[in-house]
Amino acid sequence: MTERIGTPKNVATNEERPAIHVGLAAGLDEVYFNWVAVGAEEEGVPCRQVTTRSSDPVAIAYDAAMSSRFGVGVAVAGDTVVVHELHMPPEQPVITLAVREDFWRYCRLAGGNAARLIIRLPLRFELEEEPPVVKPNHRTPAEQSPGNPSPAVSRPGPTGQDAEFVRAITKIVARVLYERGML
Amino acid sequence: MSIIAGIDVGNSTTEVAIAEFTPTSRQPRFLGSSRVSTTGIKGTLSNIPGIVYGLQDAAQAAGIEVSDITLALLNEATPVIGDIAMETITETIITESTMIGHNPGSPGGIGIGVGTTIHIKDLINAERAEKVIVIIPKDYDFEIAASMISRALEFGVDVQGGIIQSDDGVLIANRIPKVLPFVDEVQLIDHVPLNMLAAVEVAAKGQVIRQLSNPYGVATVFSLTPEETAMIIPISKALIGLRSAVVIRTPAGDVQSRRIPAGTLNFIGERQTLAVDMDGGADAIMEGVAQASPLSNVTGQPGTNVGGMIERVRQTMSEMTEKPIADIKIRDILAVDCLVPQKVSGGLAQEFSMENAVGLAAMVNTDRLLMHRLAEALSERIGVRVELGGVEANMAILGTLTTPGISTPLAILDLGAGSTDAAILRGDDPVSSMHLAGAGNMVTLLIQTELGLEDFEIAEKIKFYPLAKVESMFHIRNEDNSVSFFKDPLDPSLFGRVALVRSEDDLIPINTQHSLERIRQIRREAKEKVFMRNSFRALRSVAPNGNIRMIDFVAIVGGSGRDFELSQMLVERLAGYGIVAGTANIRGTEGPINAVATGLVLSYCDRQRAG
Repeated sequence: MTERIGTPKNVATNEERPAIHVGLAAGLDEVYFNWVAVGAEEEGVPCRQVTTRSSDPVAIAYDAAMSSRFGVGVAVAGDTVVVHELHMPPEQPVITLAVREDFWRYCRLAGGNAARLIIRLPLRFELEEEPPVVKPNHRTPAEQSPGNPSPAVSRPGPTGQDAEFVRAITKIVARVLYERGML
Repeated sequence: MSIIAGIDVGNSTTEVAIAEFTPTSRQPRFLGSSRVSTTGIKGTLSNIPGIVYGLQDAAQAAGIEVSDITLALLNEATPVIGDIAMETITETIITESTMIGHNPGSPGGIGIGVGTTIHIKDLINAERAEKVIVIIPKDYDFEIAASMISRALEFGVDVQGGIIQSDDGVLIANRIPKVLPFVDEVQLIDHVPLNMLAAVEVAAKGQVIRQLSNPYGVATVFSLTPEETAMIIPISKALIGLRSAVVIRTPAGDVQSRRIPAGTLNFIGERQTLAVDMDGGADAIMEGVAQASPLSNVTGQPGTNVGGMIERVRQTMSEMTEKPIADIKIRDILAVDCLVPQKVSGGLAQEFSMENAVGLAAMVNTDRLLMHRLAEALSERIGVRVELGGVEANMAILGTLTTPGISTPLAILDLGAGSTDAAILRGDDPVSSMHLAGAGNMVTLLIQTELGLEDFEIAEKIKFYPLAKVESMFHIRNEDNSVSFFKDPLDPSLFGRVALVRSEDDLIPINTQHSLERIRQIRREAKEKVFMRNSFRALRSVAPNGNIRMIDFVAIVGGSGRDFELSQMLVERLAGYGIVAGTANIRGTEGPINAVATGLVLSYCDRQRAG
């Protein structure tokens, strides 16, 4: 893991400067902050580490977002990375990523997404190339019960192979219908 | 008392109106109506499932059973069906990989660099003052790559820029002592040739590259001869408007913009025959159609794109109508120019180049016998007497006249999915009508191809719903710049995207890089190209003396009349000719649809009363 340590170049030292606030759960190495900051750096947005008392990632992320002048916060705790935004309900973060392996990649992804919230680009829900390490989740965040945020990335619609298969069939049917002038 | 059902089978939808009629009453009483998708090509037996479904739907709305219907009236069907095709007339081919021009979200650094390509692992062997472009595959972490480049720079190697496989452009650029251009997210980095002269250009944010999108700029960088400069024009053309690009000069490198022999269209008119070159574009083709009309057939030059295109239309029609291919005559053509993004063959980062294309909608006459056959089969299937109810144009006018506030003389514009029709009723003259190729489906095809969408379905939705940009988790900016706020946060997958507003809280994200403005422009242009042109063509051909100004009132009917902007676009344009135009509201309730089905019922009742 150590060879992946990156030193971010976008850490805001001036307290006045707007930045994404990143909170780490107690006991986590500072290197997690660096990974998040590097993700935001690629998009050109500064980051700052904030101290936290809580161990609940959602609460950390919300506190970080509330203290950030951009209103965007990231939390790393246990095996989840959370991105929060200050207008959201406290218990409902924008994105929750469940991490299995390659923790650094998820931190980078979260940092990138936090920056994308600020520069208003579509968010990325999956790591590039490699299959997404997300648990299937058919709910939209609006339906998630408060206090129990889903540990998976929220995605619209069904996921998994069956959905893929159905989509493929639908596509073929739609094409045939179209070719016959019925659509 | 009898219950009458009017059935209108269109290219895209089947519409039904059910009414109750007693010979003593003045008017039939409408009980219910429906609109379902047409199954199969209009006029074939495969329409029956759709018709039955439509009847059931309407019967349910009327609170009766299908078996309660005394008589079903089928439209005599405009004896026309349409088909559409699209063909590019230019193509860019790169026989040897020489170009990477793409727009990664965040390229690194800024400026232009020229040097020979070198793998990052060989950087250590590079000579002092040697100009190099570093190739960085994704197994080199940004920190490592940056330190390797920094060391090379310290040693005196003249690193000019880099090509990176992963999304690390900014990170690497931030970690080296010099400002250098880096293009990232180049997927097929293994295909980048090594030890070749290459140029990397990254423009500042909000700018576009200047040097590599200019043929003479490329010539300067690579010291090209005038002959070679002529050859790289397609490369520069494909790089116009991008923020970053790479051009690599390979010895055998060869890029061609091949002009595909597009061929000629032959218009066989009733009075004259003429040939028009496809290269002339849509305007030349439409001029040919106007000169040769009325058309009795259209053929394409064999062995060319247009020849294949016309043949395909004829083939499909022949299969659908079960008529021999020689009997399929094309009665009208609508040609539309468009620009189609095409994957450059031989590119490295899935580059697209905009190629010229012509879209064609063609219309073919069908057999009246087919409708008789359909009526018989339908009668057998539902156990209800089925009759053919009369000429479609007359029925459409009759139905349209149920619109509150409308009166004769009246012209109607029927904007359907497959054809644009016009009909006019003046005093006691017989209704004159015109059917033209190209309507809603053509608009969808144009939207789909110009935006490079895989899916016809999403293009259909883009045609139909207004756009918005999701600007935060709680608000969207609509295409008219107004803002809608939401009480609950939106789905994060919508954030930052362009979406379609199906209803106030139903947003459909569009998975594309195109900006809202571009999508809107393409959508409106597609409608303009198809419906404006066809509406004027159709109205002109039914207008007295072909003079559109002689028409006073125009009512817009048909499925595309429900389009949220189209009828307004038309109303605006027609007002310039002193024409009062508006969207019909059949029976005061149905909007612009159900005109023919309603007309069928009304015409039957009129005939009954008359004797």
